Amino acid sequence: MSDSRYGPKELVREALLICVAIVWCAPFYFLVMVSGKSDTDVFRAPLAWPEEFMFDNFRRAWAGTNRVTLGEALINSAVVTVATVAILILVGSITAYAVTRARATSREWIYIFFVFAIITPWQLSVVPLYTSFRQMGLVGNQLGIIILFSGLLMPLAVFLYVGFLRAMPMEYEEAAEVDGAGRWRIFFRVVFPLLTPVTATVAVMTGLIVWNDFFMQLIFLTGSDVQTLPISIFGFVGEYAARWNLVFAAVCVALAPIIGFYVFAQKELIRGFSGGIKN
Amino acid sequence: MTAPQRLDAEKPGVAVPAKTLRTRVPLWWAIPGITLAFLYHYVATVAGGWYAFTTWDGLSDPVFIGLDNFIEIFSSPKSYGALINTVVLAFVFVAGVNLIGLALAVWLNANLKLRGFLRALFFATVVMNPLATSYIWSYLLAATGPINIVLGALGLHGLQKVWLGDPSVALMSVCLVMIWQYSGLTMVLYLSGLQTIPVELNEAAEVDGASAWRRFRKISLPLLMPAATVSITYTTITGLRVFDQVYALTRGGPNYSTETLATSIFKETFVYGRFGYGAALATVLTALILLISLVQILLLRLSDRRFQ
Amino acid sequence: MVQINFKDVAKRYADGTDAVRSLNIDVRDGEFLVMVGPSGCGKTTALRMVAGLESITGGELVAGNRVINNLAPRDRNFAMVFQNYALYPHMTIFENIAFPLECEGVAKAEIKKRVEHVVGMLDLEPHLYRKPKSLSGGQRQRVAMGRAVIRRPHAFLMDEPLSNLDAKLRVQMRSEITQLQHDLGTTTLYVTHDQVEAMTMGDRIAVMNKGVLQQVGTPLEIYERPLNMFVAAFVGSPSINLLSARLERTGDGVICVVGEQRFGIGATPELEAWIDRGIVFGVRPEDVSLRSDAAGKGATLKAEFVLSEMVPPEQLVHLDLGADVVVAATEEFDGDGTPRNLQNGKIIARIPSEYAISPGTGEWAIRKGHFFDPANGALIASVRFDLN
Repeated sequence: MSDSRYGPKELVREALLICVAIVWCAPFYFLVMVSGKSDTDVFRAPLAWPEEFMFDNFRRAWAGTNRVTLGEALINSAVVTVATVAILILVGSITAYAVTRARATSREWIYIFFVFAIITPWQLSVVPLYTSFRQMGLVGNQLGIIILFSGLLMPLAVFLYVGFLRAMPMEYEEAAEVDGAGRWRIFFRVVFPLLTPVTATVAVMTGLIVWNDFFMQLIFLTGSDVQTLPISIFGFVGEYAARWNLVFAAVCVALAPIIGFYVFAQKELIRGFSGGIKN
Repeated sequence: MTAPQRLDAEKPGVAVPAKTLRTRVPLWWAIPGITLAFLYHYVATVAGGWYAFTTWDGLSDPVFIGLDNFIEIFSSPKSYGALINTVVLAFVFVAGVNLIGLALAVWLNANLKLRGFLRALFFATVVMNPLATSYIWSYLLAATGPINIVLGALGLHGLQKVWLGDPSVALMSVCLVMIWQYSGLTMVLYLSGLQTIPVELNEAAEVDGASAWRRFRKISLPLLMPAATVSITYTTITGLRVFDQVYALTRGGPNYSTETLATSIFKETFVYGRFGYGAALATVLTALILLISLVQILLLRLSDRRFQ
Repeated sequence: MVQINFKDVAKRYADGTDAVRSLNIDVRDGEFLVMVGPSGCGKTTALRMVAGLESITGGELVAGNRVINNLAPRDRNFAMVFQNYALYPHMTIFENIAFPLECEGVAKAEIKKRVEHVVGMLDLEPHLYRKPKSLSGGQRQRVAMGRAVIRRPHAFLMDEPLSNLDAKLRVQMRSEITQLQHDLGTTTLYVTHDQVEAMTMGDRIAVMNKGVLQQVGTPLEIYERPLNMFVAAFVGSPSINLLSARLERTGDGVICVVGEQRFGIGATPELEAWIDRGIVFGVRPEDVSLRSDAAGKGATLKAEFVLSEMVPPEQLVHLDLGADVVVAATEEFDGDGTPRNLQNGKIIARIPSEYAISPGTGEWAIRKGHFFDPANGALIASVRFDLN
């Protein structure tokens, strides 16, 4: 078992798993293949690689729909994601710090307060949120989405930070206090840097949720000129419904950033994601 | 210089410092975070719950109508169907995604040369935009799509289906796509669960005379219960509130056969402008999810007690 | 019960490192054999090969006249006690002990009867339906023993089973395990890094170093006649004093020269070939005593008193033989076997604590010494001086 043996049993396992993996990834073969086909080619030889790879499809997909290019959508998504994650990290870590270092009774209550906030699904709060955001002019723009997700994901961020802070020894803070640092300096110079692992988890989890969300963005951005990636792809598919080559070129563009990110940081992403859920 | 630490009686192992610094971090630092969470999750949820008892177009003043919305949900075949679909979809999805994830984890938990690579590969779909991946599948599952072509080429014409257009299979097709997307996640959860099981336990069982199957059933599986509880709860909640895949693949069709609570909430509220009715549907969904979460918390407590 | 024979058994890992080289030991039927050595010496690997948890890459492992190299662990009918006990955390004590029987398909009533018997033997009745987590270290140890005993296996394999206990409990469990083994008469292979454990428990001891068996013998044999410097240094605490020396012939006798000092040794045929050559002279601390105490017999060395560590009823006296006395080459002694008193000229004597030692240079008697080949560390001769 712990023996470092690699026998026939392992070989069979490996071969079988590779077969499973090939089937698993087959959709991506079709994604790339179809995205490079000409309009007529799509239906002629549905399983074959295109005779000539049509990079023009990507140019047309990039142009997007409704006056918004895929490039602009990418930037919008990036702005919304980065800003939301930044707010969550800043406010979430400070809140969690204050909560964990509070007196025991209030600490427990506030913790339960955040746990319940995580459990309640968004579908119920979305209606009042939508109507009040509409009144405040926060529907159809980036700021609205940022504020929306900052609030929706705050309990998750606080929860993750609290879990980490609870296990963190206080000696560092006390040493800094003895060294004469003030509260804010203790937090930013000592505590926050020590939170780096959980900050990565928070960034990965919340960043992916915001980047991939469709439901909220559909509600809060439909019909506006501000389109994030999911909304832009949704609109694009609506316009080019049966033209799979163009749709797939757009899907390729939409998936590219996250796949690129994943290739470089897959270990951190896997750890962050599963770690976040486990808590 | 450091203050003496004592162990908190209720939580062994958690060091709680004596009254020094913790009284000096003012609680008001938590106010921004608490306020946001309070507004978004408590005020908004309660307000949403209130709208569930009204009829409201989102613009004029809501009118209180008591339980009418809920009566409609349970009497209209469309909404009641959505509730049933949601439960069926969540159930099939949870069973499939956990079984496949567990199988992948058990198989990957060996000394394989491509272990890390395969793990990363199976997990990759988890981080991808569900809308984008669903569009890939709507091509694959199309009537003249590759899946039917391959089935035809294999002579399995009987298995060819209009996967997303046939009300009898559309919901299962959606399940298939979701299972494909999230099996990597359950795999990783089970894998890390497996890795917390000390190697010696399996070795001891091996020496004690247990077969591979018995070791899995008597040692690995019971010790995976905490991981399974987390995995099953997370995937149940994911399954219950799924919107993106359904909306991208079928938009609830054909003939409402894949309509779920989440798609109904969206359509009723933001397409038909029935804000009150949408809120009532959301209340039903919330109740379902809260129920599942409470059961999870109880189960987790129980599985902790297994080792006492 | 069964005898276990290692025949040139070897373990080479895929990366080319040799964990065990050509091991030859015959564990007799019913014997308690302890494998001892510093960490990384291959003793645990050897044990795991017997258990079937580690594949064998060379030689033959025979149990009861049957080659078991490729037999699955569950078909070997050995019981193993792990260092961390490997108790199944989700099972009660009863279920843990019953597990091997359950695997065999023994009937429920029979299982209950046998578990109750074993539990009575090990004093575990009050804890039968509790989980391992709520037990103390010593109780967990007993449960692990119970799980091993219940199946009446061909042999017990124990991998440092006492190393997680505190010192007091360790001493107690030591005798409990030996007693149990005696009563059952089951062949036992026991691995430890602790020489005291090895000495007190084993019928015989196998000392290993760097994957190579150094010596097999009874505790007394190992102590009295260590076959090489490693064994000599590994066994005994504090470690044996190893001094570079030289043999010379004077008239009809042989003398040993240590630094500037010389003392006669009786006629020893094995040492004839070493006259006028460098040699390593080993003296155990307990074989060094105050001159007056040895009543004129044996060899004498003059040494300066440095300090004394009181460990009543004994004391460890640090002595200085002078800077010109060189201590033997040390390449053979890494790991736990390294003798600690390797400074030039420093040796340790172990004498009763009631003796007061006056500062300055005094005369010390040497009862017994071992001579080793400085090139390969092999024992040339053990000599008793006080009999001359």
